[in-house]
Amino acid sequence: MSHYLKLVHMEIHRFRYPLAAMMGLTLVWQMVTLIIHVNGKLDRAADALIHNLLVNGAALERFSFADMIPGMLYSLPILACIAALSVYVFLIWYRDWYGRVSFIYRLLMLPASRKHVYLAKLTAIVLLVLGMLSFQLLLLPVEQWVFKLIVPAEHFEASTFGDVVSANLVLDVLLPRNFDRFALSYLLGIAAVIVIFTAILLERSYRLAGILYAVGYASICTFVFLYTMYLMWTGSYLYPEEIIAIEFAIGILITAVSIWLGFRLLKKKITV
Amino acid sequence: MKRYLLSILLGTFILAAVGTYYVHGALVELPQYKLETIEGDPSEIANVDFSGNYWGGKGSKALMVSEQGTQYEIDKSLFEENVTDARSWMFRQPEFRKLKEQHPHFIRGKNKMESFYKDEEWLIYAEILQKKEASQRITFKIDMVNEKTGKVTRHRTNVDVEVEDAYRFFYVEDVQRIGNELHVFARQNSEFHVYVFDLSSGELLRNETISLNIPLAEGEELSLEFTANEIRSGSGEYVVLRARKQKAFQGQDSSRLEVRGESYYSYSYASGQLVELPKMLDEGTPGKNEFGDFLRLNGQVLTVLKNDTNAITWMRYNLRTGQVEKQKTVVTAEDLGVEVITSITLSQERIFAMLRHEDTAMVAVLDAKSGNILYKGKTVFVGPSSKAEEQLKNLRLLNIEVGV
Repeated sequence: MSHYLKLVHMEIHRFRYPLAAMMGLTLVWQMVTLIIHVNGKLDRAADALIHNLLVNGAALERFSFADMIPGMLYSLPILACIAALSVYVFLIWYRDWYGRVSFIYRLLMLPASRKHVYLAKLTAIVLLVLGMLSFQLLLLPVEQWVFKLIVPAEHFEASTFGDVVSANLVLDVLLPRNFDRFALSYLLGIAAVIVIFTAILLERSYRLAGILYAVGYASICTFVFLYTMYLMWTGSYLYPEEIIAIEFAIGILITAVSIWLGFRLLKKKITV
Repeated sequence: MKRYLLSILLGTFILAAVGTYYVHGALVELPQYKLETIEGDPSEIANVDFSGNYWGGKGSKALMVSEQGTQYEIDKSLFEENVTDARSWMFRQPEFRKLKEQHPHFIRGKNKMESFYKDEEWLIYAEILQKKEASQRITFKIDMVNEKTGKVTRHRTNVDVEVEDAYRFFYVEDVQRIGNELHVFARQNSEFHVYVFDLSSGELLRNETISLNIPLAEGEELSLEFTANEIRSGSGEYVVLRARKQKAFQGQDSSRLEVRGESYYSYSYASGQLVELPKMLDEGTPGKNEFGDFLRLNGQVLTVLKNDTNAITWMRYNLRTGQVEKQKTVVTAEDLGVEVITSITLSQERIFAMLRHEDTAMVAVLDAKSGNILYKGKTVFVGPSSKAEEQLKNLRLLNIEVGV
């Protein structure tokens, strides 16, 4: 266990600068976007106020923080971080093979089970994703406070945290309202990472032919899982509770087989 | 320990942030409402939910309100959404829930409510299979289970049809058993047919075309509406057809449909007779042709019902005796003590009405036979009374769901 935890820490530590850069980029981009958007809105509200007062004395325009964040511009750093972490799912292995030093050989020669290397990388990916998610969760009330500081009281409208999250499509997907949806989404994500890890190890084990094996393996897993979901929507012979049970069983089976295969490849096929 | 500070901080940060988000979300509830009785018997709405939207905050949130309280769509768990409420169009109906409990294997893959028939002896499912739209052959798939023995019998009967149009769609509107005959009332594009099969062998005995012979002027088209027994799988001797002559007018930016006349017919499975019914709600009925009306058939009694937001109007006609059971009855919004009648539905001789009075959503239940008010209730906000007025304004109830 301590060996595994040390490996997890090593993986997190290796990614500390890119992680800090992603957090910094998200903070700066979202703050700047928010301030520019709010100022633009205040300018338009001022013009509208002058016009409306002259024409019909209409009420002041009020807006809330939830009105400021639906745009794609606000979500851009989140999407960029998702892309970066998706690439890192591959790089976390390949950098060890193709880095300045073939670090993978040192990892595989450690006096401990090789599966700890696999599990540590998986845990690191999960922690990095959840870490970025938590950072966004921290950022939202901070941005909301900044919004309250810069918007005059006569234009300010309060909004709940739930409304803020659901106002932005990307946040709504990443932070579902219910914990069971959150757990399911991220467990599915972890299963996908496990399948990709196993595909990478297939490629590393069999070189050129391994590319075919890797693509084939990932495709089969994806098809099998998605086909059972397709059954749900096409009014099939099976009842919904049966389809759900089958989906769960297939998801667990795919995950278990991928982990077993990954461990086996690391133990038997990848040599130093 | 100091060496691992980054990882420890990251793990703690994740637990704190995600944990706080979901604990906060669980503690902070959306506004809660429930139905409170003003007068009458609350058991009248025991199996009724009222759906609508909450308009506070940003956007609207769909919800259901009942005597027990409120359920928001966004608060539904994955299990509720994908299992409990799956195929809700069918399994929300108590009759089909019961069929699934009694015959889970027989009901598999059978999704068309109108294709079921059940009595004390048989449970039957009949549907039409068609290879491609322009096919000249259709197949009747008839599955039957004997209620006493549990034995399942399956018939597949091919029927050749005349193809005039490039595409032809067939679907079953109703299934009835008369003695040892199975009658399948089917729609074939704009025509109705009754296919009669021998229950024992599945052999096609006859195919009757239901001809309405309604002349159409230039530009007019016929819209046909079919009404079977309210209990879809139940035994019912009659079905009702409504034929509307309508003409479409195309404006610059919009189009409208003008109803040029309508007629009602009843068809008896036992006698095979098609009888034209007298005019139901006449041209003088408030809102006729504007808001639409709907029909309900309960055994041999047909109810024609309309709501124009100021009044509910209905009449009842006995198809067997050919007599009006209840002349046109009008219950106005004023009679109910409200400003607007938002929507209505009829189920099992009860008219359920959604009402609005001074920004408060209210409900009423009327006896379709007598017109008496059996129940009146209003929605109340479950929370501090200081917020009640504002929160009630944010609630809009729109639809009634009976038999949940």
